[in-house]
Amino acid sequence: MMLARVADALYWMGRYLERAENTARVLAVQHNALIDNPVEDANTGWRRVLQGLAIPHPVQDEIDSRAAFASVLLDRAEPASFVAALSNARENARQIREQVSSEMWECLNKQYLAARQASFDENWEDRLQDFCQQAIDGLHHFAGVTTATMSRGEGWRFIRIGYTLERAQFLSRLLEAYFAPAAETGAPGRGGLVTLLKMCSAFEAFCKAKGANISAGDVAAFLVFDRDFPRSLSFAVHRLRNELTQLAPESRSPSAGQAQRLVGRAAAALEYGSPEDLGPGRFREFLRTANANCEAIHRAINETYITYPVTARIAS
Amino acid sequence: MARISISAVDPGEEARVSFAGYKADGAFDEMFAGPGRPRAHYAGLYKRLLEMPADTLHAREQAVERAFLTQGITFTVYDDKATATERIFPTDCVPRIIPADEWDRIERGLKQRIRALNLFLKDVYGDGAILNDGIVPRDLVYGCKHFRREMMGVKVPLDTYVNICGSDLIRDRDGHYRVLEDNLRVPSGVSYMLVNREAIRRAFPRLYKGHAVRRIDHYGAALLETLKSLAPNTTGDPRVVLLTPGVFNSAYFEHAFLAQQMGIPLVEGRDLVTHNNAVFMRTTGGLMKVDVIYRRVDDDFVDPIAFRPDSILGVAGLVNAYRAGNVAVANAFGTGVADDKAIYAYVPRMIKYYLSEDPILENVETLLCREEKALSHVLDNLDKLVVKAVGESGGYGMLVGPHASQAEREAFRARITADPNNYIAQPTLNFSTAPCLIDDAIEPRHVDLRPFILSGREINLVPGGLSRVALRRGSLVVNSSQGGGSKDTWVLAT
Repeated sequence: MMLARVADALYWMGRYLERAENTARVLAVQHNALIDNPVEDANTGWRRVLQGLAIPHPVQDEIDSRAAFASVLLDRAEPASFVAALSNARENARQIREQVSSEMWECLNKQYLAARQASFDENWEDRLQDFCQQAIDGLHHFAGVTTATMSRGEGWRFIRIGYTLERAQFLSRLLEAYFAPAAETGAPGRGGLVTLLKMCSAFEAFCKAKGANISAGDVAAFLVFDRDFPRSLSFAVHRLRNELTQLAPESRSPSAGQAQRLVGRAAAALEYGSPEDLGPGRFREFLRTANANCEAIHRAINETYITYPVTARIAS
Repeated sequence: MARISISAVDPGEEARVSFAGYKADGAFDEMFAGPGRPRAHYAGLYKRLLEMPADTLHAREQAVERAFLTQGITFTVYDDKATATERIFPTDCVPRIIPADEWDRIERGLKQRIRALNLFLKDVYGDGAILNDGIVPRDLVYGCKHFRREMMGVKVPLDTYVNICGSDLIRDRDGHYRVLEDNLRVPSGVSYMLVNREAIRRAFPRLYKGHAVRRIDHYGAALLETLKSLAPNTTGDPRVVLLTPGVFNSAYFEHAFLAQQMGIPLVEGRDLVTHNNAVFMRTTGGLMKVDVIYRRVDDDFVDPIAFRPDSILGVAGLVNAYRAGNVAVANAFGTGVADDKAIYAYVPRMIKYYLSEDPILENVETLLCREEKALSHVLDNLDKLVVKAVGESGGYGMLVGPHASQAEREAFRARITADPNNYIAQPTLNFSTAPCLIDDAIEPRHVDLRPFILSGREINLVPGGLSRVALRRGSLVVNSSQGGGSKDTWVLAT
């Protein structure tokens, strides 16, 4: 048993770290894609990026790339920005410093101190790739340090739950932005599909599994159903189910088992889903259901382990 | 411009650190018995410093500071726009050395003192014998703002009110250690003692190995042992927690550090609830009983029912749970009555009264403005004295007469005249200096020493303490809030 507040902070640390990594990777890939693409495609690309990162944006307006990069990377006031996510992860870790290993703390703190120094100058276009790559490397380093130094107890599980939930929600939003967007942007072409795969660091794994012949249906099926690749929706939800199953069931809580039930249902939809679920007219619903399930799981975890009313526990 | 002084060297040879600017200002010097004549226990360090290039010394000091920053060994300061900045507590890399016989005397003196102070607290919250016998004036105790009526007649675990004490010692002109004040409420700084040692050992391994330095890394274990010894009932392993005001507190690093060292939960007020006069913490699996609380929250904020009702840092009902004997709290509530600046003056008399012993460590001579003769002397000599408001700490509410302006002195004169009971005065102490690395030279700076005394079933000190340094030249103020730093403190085994 650990303090409810500590579990909450570890969970959010995991979420924010995953968010920071997704943001950094998406921006690096977007920057790379913009080098080749004609200008009229830049807007479509940005709209997908912003929807995938859950950043509200006006549909019609032309998006200025420099401003968008600056804001999504370094604007602390933009909650989905890389720097905001990293700072929030670090602030959560700081609130529970005695719970994470010193190695983890130093690794995260170093990265935070470095990112805080970053700013946009006239050379930003030459440096953006390096910055994003270093950020991703740093976060991988942190994940490795965590694996190497943290006990596989309850705290570990709350971190993993945060990572996997965030990943599942990110994937469902990004897939929706590509395959079922609100504004009609047309189906992604080969370039768009490669960009999407790279945003999920899935390009090489996809090619190994399906060959270099890239079709929209194969990409969607891979990112939704593949059981082995760590950034597929199915993988994230199954991992989430494992972690939740291992959390001590809280029998005295009225909401006991709620999160487990929800995640089981979500996993079943992915396990027994079919390519038709990803077809036109159904894919959006499918992804939105997956996203809504994640939100329900988040609420259930919160009510069961974190913000339960004290009176309910005193009676027993 | 940083002033750089380099000793005369052959061309091509690296610049050594210089002692040229080392001018004693009449204070006792820790390192030198006379110009160029180091004391025996400093001889090895002096020799090593003379050999060491200034660049090396600097590089190592910077490495230490960088490590502190990445480890988050910082305190938070807020500017007038409430923007928070995390700063490191400056560390000077030249260790301070205390020989075995000096430490032995300090240790005996502090143990004697804490025994007397705990007996005093038991007495004033109990029978009041020392008041009845007229040794300590009754109104001074009952009028003290840290006196807690709620503690009258409460049975305190092991009769030890102060379980963690940090007493500030200084050395006078003759090198005698004297107690400047006792910190009996929530003393801080012990984490800096521990991290300084770790950093200096790493930065100067050969120097460290060349001295038989007594270890201090068992502090966490000793503290936990002390806390466990207070647990209300001895069945099973008591659950101990550390209560912090939270991440915005300037000493948050220390709270997290100590919790980690002891392997105990770091809790905030909102993590704890009381029910049926017992304290529970909210865990992922429901409520769990807490046996001992090492609280780093001041009395005022610890329980909105008992003390300040507007506090959100505390635990409602904690004082009642404590009074019911269901939870131990260290330090006990109300210990501030014994480290009050006026009551301080009576500690030597307490030692005689309770222990029938002469004090091993003396006080600093103290004038109580409540006494008429003393008051007129103080008012006539404001330019020579240090005046302190009785209820303040941390270097606030203080007048350092010789360094103050005429206007500041007059402002204090008015305050003292209006409320003499609230002020004490002490001679301006020219307390001892120790060598510090300032730019490229070694210069003397004033230091004090805060050893930490643990009292549970027995009284324990780890050898040494936190040496705080007034890094500004000539300054006598060592508080971290006012430009102070710290340095590693080596107690030698032989």
